[in-house]
Amino acid sequence: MFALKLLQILLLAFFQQAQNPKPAQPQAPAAPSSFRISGRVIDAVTGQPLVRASVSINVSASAGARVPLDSGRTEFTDPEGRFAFADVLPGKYSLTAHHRGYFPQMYQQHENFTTAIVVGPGLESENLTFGLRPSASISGEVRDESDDPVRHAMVMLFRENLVGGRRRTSSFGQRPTDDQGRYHFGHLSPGTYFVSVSARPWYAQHNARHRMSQDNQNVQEADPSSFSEQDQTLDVVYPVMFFPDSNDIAGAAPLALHAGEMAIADFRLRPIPALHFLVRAPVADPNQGVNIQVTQSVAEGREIHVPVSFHQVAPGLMEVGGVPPGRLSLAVMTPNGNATMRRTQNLQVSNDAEIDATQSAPSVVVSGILKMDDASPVPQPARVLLRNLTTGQGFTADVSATGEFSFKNNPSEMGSYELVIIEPQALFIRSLSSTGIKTTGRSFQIAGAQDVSVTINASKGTGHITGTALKKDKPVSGVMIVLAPLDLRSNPGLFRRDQSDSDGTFTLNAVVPGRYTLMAIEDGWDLEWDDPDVLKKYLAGGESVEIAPHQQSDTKVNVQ
Amino acid sequence: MVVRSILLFLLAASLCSTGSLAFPQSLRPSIQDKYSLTGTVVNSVTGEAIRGALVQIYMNGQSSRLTGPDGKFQFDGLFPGQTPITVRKPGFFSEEELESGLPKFRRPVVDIGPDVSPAILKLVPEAVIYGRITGDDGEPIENLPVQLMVQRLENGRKVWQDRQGGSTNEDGEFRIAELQPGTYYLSAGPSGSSVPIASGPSNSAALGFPVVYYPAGSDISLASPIPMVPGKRAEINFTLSPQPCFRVAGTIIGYAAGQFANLQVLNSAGKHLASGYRFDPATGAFRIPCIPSGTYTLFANAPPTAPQTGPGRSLTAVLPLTVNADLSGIHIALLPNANIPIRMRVISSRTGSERFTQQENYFPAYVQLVSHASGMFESRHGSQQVGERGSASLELQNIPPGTYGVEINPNGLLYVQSATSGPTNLLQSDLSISAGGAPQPIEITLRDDGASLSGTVSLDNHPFTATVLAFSEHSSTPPIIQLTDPKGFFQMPFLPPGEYKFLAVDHPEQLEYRNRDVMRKYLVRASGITLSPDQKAKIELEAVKVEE
Repeated sequence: MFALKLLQILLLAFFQQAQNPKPAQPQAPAAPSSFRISGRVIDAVTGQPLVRASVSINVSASAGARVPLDSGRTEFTDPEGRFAFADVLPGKYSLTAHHRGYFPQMYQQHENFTTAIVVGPGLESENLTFGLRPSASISGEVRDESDDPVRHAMVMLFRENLVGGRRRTSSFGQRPTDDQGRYHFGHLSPGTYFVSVSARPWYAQHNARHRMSQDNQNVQEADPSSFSEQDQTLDVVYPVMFFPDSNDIAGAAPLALHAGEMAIADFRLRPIPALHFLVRAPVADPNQGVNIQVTQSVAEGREIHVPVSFHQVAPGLMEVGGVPPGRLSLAVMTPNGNATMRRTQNLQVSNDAEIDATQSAPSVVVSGILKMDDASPVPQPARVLLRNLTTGQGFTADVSATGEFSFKNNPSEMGSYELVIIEPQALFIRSLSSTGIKTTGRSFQIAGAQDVSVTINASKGTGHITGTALKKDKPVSGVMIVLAPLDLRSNPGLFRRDQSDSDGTFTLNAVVPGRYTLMAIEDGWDLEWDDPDVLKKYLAGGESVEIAPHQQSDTKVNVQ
Repeated sequence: MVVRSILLFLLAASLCSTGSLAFPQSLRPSIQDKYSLTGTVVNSVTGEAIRGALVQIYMNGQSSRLTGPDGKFQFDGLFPGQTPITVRKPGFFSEEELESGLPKFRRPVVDIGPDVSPAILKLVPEAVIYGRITGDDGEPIENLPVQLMVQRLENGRKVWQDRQGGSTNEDGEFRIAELQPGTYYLSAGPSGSSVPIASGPSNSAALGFPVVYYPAGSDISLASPIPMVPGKRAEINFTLSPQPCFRVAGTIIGYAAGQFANLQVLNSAGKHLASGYRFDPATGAFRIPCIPSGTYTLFANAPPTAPQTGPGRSLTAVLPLTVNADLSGIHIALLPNANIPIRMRVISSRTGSERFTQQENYFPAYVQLVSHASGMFESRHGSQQVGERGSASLELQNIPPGTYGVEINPNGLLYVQSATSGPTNLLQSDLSISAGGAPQPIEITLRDDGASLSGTVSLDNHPFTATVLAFSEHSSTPPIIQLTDPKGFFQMPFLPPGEYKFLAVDHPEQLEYRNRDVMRKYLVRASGITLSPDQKAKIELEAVKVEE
């Protein structure tokens, strides 16, 4: 079973209060219409029972169905770690447990999937063993070059994860340091982490260095005597630092945390001279303002805003101060009628630089229309996602009932993009078309400086696959179910996955009509299934399925 | 200290010989001379030198220095003149930051020139409140909100104001730094969800941590002050007992399709308690999982039902709620906020007739509704101009149900003779606005034959700069307030005729002048006078010192 938002469900479950005890009633010997979910919560490492752990059950609704406000219940374990829910109606339930010192976990959780407990005649929903892994934590101190604590520094945590079937290091939260320069990340699941810190020297002063010469002919470095040496020593930045002592994630030390482990990662920041850029911006009218934003790419998918100072040296010429070295993205915004034209340049910088933004192509706005193939109005609410296939960065836009959408708030640079319908799930993209640009399947290229208009040809009727994972004709719970399109390489948006529930069943929703291979892989949770070479050897053991629009299919698949 | 490089000196001397001779040459600071500014930054409490503090001056651009290990700084090559000077360092406040709100505050400046003495700059260390919150089983309570509050005077009333806050970590610890000196109050809670039960198996009602005002009060009036002087580190540990908490469920009606209705559960201090509020817009069903027993106000609101011309009327419902068991079937009907028309007439004393100046955008008075219901910040709603040009009138718009004081500020040479809403005399009583009703218009009569009073304030037979407050004996409206000039002279024109008490005080910002109990001891020292229409009276007042 797939849990959309683990935390939300957990919290929700938490709000449920224990049911008042039912008055003792003589148990009718007739066939029960309600059942029990029971078991023990233990420490997954030591096997010790966990007392007063909270265990919650929630009706596992298929996506799109409304969950009633009162769908969950919570119980607490007894001194032997036992919990029991009586009077449970037949159905599928997700289980979550929480205990002090343990991060919140779902039953047999893998990524955001869990094994739901299926309750009903002849089904085993008792004597469950719910192993909880203890939380790990990372904490530390950030100090500056004078050994003073650095307060309000931003400490960023990264975790090595399987995301979309590929092993990546992605951002896993951030914390500011307190007045003692301390930070703490708790409730961490075991895994490999990286920590980095971004801070500004609190005393930094970024004075302008350039001004026009007296004759207004050329730009010169300001008279050095007008800045004392002491003033210049304050024109400093802290480069982003990864633990223990690297400016990028490649040189960072991984913190491999086992369950329950507490790691310490202290930092000592050292200031370096701030860089100054001269940026030539295209301005039609010298009185128009130019705005400049600098972001720094700390790691893949993690960009931070850099608070730079900038001032106009001459019309169309800006000095940007307080810049740290690193991988930067510099956006120059100039007014263009009522709109703003944005030009972005990606730079790897280690020295002062002169940047000519007049030569770079302005960002373009992607907009378009979503057309239903039966010419019906677009069901509301509807949203589409525009994702840059190189950076992975994506933005969503609302689609009106008449089909219009626009990403005008998030102009795009040159590159390859993919469009995805996020909502409603019943819609899928048949094809894209555009007069100005080349489209391939669900993706297209932005190559020029012209705004892009794309027509999305969409259909209603995504399919729905249910099934059972079998091993020697017996249902198997907890295995990874993968639905893979025939062309493994160029359709990342078509994959669907699930985890088989306690009776071996699974559900795959919002399946775009087409031909697929359905696989059930035991112990498959560490596979990098995004790599066709990894998945190839399982294809032969899978089931071939074809899904037509609106089709509901039920399939048995053998566990490999 | 004067630093003269030989070259500069020679250059200066040669220029000076042709300059003005208004000053003896030896005393006249030459504009070519350059000077240094030195000084030390010290901790205002310990007197110790502070290293690594940032000192900035602003002469011909900004110049910055960090103090050395001995707390000393030096700027060289400065031309004579005056410059603001600032100092800062994390963990400290500058005196400027702490005093900028006070009337006597002066921005620090230094004079640059010959014979300038070294500057002593003080930094005031921050205060920190930290501690640990545990349950009565000794286990730390995680994720519990912690909030600091202060009490301050606002327009003569004491109000609570939230300051910094935080929440407890895994070990139940919290830490709130960067506190200015002052008296703080601390609240903790409520927990956002039910908590594991301390003893025995489940099966009993759910438990949660309600809001507790340190050390153990359930109400803000029971909170103990935590005095914080500069540099103080106060450790505040306390133990909370979980209380049974109850589920509150019901239905909200009256919101527009597709909109979300928001619901707040406010305690007597106006603190919002209901985390975990869930609402299903399709059915109107709502549920709050865990509210401790107590008396609350339910406040529901939603956006206007239909877009209208002008600002729409939001939908509101306010109802009292007493919780001591699980509650279901609570019915909340949202109703549009009130728009209250204002009708004003002006009586001219010379003709005895009514007049109304039909000038564009001119109204004889501005009207505000003031609410103190929550005990926190006062909230104000001001009157708006409505209607077409030429026939415009004033209206109070989008007013949620509640009880309000009505404040009327006449423009020009007028005073308020009467203000009513139906049978209610708004000069004596508050205005009650009920949900969804069509309130009666506010009728205001203004006159132009006000009395005027002038006088002087003295203290110990010397003229004294003070603030004069005029309390009307037959109105509950705020006193009329007038500052004297430096010689203690003041003038109050356009006073409504009637009986008054006049009081001159040194620090009105420290006086809770809307509190009758507090004012009793001051008003015995006030001067009473009865003013008739058009009377011009004079009065001598002895200033009264406000006790803290």
